[in-house]
Amino acid sequence: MSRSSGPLPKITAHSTSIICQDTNLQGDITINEGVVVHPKTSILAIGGPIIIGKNCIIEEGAMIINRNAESLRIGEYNQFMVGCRIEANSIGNWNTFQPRSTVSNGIKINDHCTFSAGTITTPSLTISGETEIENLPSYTTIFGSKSERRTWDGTNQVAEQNLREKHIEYLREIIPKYNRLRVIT
Amino acid sequence: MGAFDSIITYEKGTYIETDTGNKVSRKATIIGATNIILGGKSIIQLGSILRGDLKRSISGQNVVISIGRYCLIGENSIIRPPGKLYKGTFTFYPIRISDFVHINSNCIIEAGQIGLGVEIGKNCIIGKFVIIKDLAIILPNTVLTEGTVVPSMSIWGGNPGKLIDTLPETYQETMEAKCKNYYQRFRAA
Repeated sequence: MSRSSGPLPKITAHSTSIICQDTNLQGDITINEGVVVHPKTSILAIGGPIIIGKNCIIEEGAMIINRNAESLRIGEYNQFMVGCRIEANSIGNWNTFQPRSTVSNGIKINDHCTFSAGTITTPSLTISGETEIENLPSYTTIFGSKSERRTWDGTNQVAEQNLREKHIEYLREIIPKYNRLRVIT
Repeated sequence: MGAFDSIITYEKGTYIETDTGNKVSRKATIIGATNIILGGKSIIQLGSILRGDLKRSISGQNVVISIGRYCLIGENSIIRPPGKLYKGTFTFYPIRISDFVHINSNCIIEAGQIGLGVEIGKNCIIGKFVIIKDLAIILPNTVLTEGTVVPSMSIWGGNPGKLIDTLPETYQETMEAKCKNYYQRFRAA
């Protein structure tokens, strides 16, 4: 993915966001305040634009792709962990994409969903046998080798949110010390 | 495995050899190199990422990733320290990898500790704060969830990872010989 093909990047970033130099950003991308983008990530707005909400964490090897003509809106406090590949149509707030989880196109993610390590999420088939855009309800958890679904009852939600807030705060402090940051003009 | 195995070659100049015999690919991403210790005769292959920048919140010099002797970090593997809240503040914890550890390609390692003679197969995901004791085998495509403890002399596999089998007592010599053999065979063309 080193070759720079596709449209010229048009990146709009908030002054408090931290974007490492060694990243692959393509297309029309808007990055809101407090977002941390680790090195070696790919954000590819091949179709429509990608809008990343406040305080998201995007770790190394993560890939966020938008092939649709519509814009991909990502909410607040989402964590995209190592090596995940996200092609969803929209993403709400407080979601966790664990290492190497895949979300295919045709899914609208609401809030507080967890995609466990190594799972693949595709839209379920409708009665007519055709796939259409599926709305994944809030608090859904995808888990296990068969990528089964269940609902999280919200235990420890406050603690988890507290952890996420402290995590991003610490990253904002430590990443600029060791990494070259991308200068967005 | 044996004396007649073919050598594994790489193009001359694509790997940096240190005085202690470490071979580090020029195409590996090593961030925060001052916080990483390599024991010697270890190989870091191309495309791998080592995150030495994610250090503890306490000030001063501290080791983030320590890797022992005769280790292998395979292609495109990612090693990053795990983090959690401690007394209300977020901090990362160091990751300790002992001697004779083979990590094959495309692994994601967020473990706390990996013991002597551990072999981790391809495409494994080792979750945060996992402790792998000495002489364990993690089969390819295994997902070990957060905080798993793998006992010594055992074979683990599956998603989520489970105990599958145990190993014979002679395994230590086998693994040490295998790691030394691999290091001998890995040389410039």
